[in-house]
Amino acid sequence: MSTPDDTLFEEAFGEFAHAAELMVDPVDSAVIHGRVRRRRTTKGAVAAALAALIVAVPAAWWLQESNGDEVDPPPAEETTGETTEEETSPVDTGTGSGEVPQGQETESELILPTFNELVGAEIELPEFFPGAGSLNDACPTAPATIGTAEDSGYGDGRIRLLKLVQVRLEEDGPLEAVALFGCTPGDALVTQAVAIAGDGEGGWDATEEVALGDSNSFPLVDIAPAAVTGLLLLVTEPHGTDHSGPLDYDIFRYRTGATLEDVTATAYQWGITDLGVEVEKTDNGDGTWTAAVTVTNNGDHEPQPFDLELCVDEGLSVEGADDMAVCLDGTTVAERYETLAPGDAVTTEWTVEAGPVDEWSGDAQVGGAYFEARVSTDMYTVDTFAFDFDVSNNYANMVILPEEVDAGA
Amino acid sequence: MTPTRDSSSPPMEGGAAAQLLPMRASLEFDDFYAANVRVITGQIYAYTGDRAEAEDLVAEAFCRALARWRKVREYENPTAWVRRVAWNLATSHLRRRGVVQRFLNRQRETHEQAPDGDRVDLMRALAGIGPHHRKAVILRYMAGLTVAEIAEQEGVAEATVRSWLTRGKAALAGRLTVQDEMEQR
Repeated sequence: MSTPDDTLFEEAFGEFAHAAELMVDPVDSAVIHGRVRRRRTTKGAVAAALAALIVAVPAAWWLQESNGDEVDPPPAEETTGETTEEETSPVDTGTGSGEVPQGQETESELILPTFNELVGAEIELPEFFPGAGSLNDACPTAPATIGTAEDSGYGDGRIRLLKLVQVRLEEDGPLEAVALFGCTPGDALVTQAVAIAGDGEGGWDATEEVALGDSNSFPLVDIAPAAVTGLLLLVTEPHGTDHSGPLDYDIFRYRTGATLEDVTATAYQWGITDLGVEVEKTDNGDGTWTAAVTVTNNGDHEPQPFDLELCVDEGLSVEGADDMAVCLDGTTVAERYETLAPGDAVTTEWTVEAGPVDEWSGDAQVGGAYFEARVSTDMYTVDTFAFDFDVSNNYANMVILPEEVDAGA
Repeated sequence: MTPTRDSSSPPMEGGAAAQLLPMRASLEFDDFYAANVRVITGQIYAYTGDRAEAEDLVAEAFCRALARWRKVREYENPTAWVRRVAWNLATSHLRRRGVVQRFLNRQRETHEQAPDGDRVDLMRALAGIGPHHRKAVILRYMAGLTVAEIAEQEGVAEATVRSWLTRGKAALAGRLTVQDEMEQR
C-alpha cells in the first residue's frame, strides 16, 4: 500500500484534531494560577527562612572572631540590575576542587583543605534537618565521616563531599574554602554548603554555615565562586521523584553578613544548559543498521565536558566496539566532548549488527532489542556550574524488531 | 495563537505601572491559556492515548509557563514553548512506561480491528506506531507545524523529521482505509 498524500492526512487529522479538542476537559485557568501561587508561597517562605538563617549565623560567627567589636562591614555596592563584564566573567581564583595547594595558608592564616584531605576526615557539621531531632540520625553530622560521591547509593545516609571551591565570602575578606556536602537519607539528595578551615591541630572545622538545601523546598544543587565576591548557589524549583522535563532554576549570591541575593539575571551561567540526544535508525539492508546519534545543545550556554554513553541489548553488537556494554550491566563511554556551542549538534554513526533472534532475551524477543544512547554531564568537577536542567531528553534509543531480523535473514 | 503584547498600550510610569503589570500579565496569561489549552491537550491526548493524563501534563506545562510568564510572554512564540514543555513531559511519561507500552502497542497491533477510517480508528492507529513517528505525524497534521518547526522543537535534523513522517505515514496507512476512501470519492 502506498502512503496517502499530505492533503488526505490533513483532512483526516483536521477532523480528528477538532474532535480531540472537544473531548478534552482542561482545568480552568484559575486552577493554574492557584497551583503556581501555592508553589511560590512555599518556595518564598523557605527562601526567606534560609536567608534569615544565613544572615544570623555568619553575623554571630563574625562577632565571635572579632571579640565583640561590631565592625562587620557592609557588603560592597554591586551590580544587580545590569549585566556587567565583571558579573558575566568569573574571576580567576584558580582554586577549584582539588586544585588547592596542599595545606595552603592564606593571608589571613586560614588553613584551607584540599578535596582529598577532607575525604575520610571526621568533621562536626551543621544538621541537615535543623530541629528535627532523631531525623538527623539519617544523615549523622556529629561528627560526619566524609566520603565521596563515587560510591553513592540511595538511603545509605553517608555524608559525601560533592564539591570544594575557594572564594572570598566578603569584600577584602580572606580566601575561604566552601564545601558542598550531600546526603541521601531516602531517595532524594539533601545538601549543605559550609565553609571549612583547619583547626590548627590537623583537623577541620566548619566555620560558617552558608546554605542548607533540601529536595522538596530549596533544592541546592551546585555552588560556584561569584564573579566578584561571594558564593553562587544554584537552586532548582522543587520537584518530586517523578519529575521530568525542564527545571526552572535560580541563582543566589551568598556573602557573609549580607542578605541572600537573587542574581539569576546577571550571574554567569556557563555550564547550565540542556543537552539532548537523538538516535536515527537506518536499515542498511545487509543485516546491519546504522544508528546516527546526534547530540544537540538545546540550551543557551555552553556545557561543561560531557560523555556520550552507549549500550546494546544482548544479541546486538556494534562494529568497532567489541567492549560495548550490555544495557543490563551499564554503559560504555563512547565519546567525550569538551564543549558544544548553544544550538550546535554533533553526530556520530554506529553500525549495529543483530545476532539470531532466538538468542535474544525474552523481553527483546517481544519488544525488540535496543541500542541506547545517553549524555551525561560531569557535575562538581569544575569551579563553575555544571547542570543540565532538562534530563528528559538525555536518553534516546533505536530498536531492532525481531521481524526485521527475520526478514533480513 | 500568539498572545498580544502590551506595545499598543499607553506607557505608564512609576507605581501605577508596577501595580497594573501583574494584573495585565495575569489577564494576558488567561487569554493565552484559553486560546491554546484545548489545542495542545488534544495533541497530547492523541500522543498518549489517555485523556486525563494529557490534561494533567498540559496543566503542568502551563503552570511552568505561568511561573515564568514575564519571560515566556516575551518569547517570539510562547505557544511553541508551552507545547514543547508539554511534549517533553509526555515523552518522559511514556518513556517511563516504555517496556509496558511497547508490549501493549504490539498487542494492539495484534488485535487491530478492521479500520473504517473514523477518528476512533485513527486514535488506535496512532497508538500502534512508534512514539517518534506518532509525535511527528501529530505535530505535522494536528498542530500544523512545518518540518523545520518540528525539527526545532525536537532538536533534531529536518531529515530526521522527514524520515519520521514518511515512516509514520506509511505505518498509519497500513492501519487506515484513508487511501481507499479517497479512491472511492
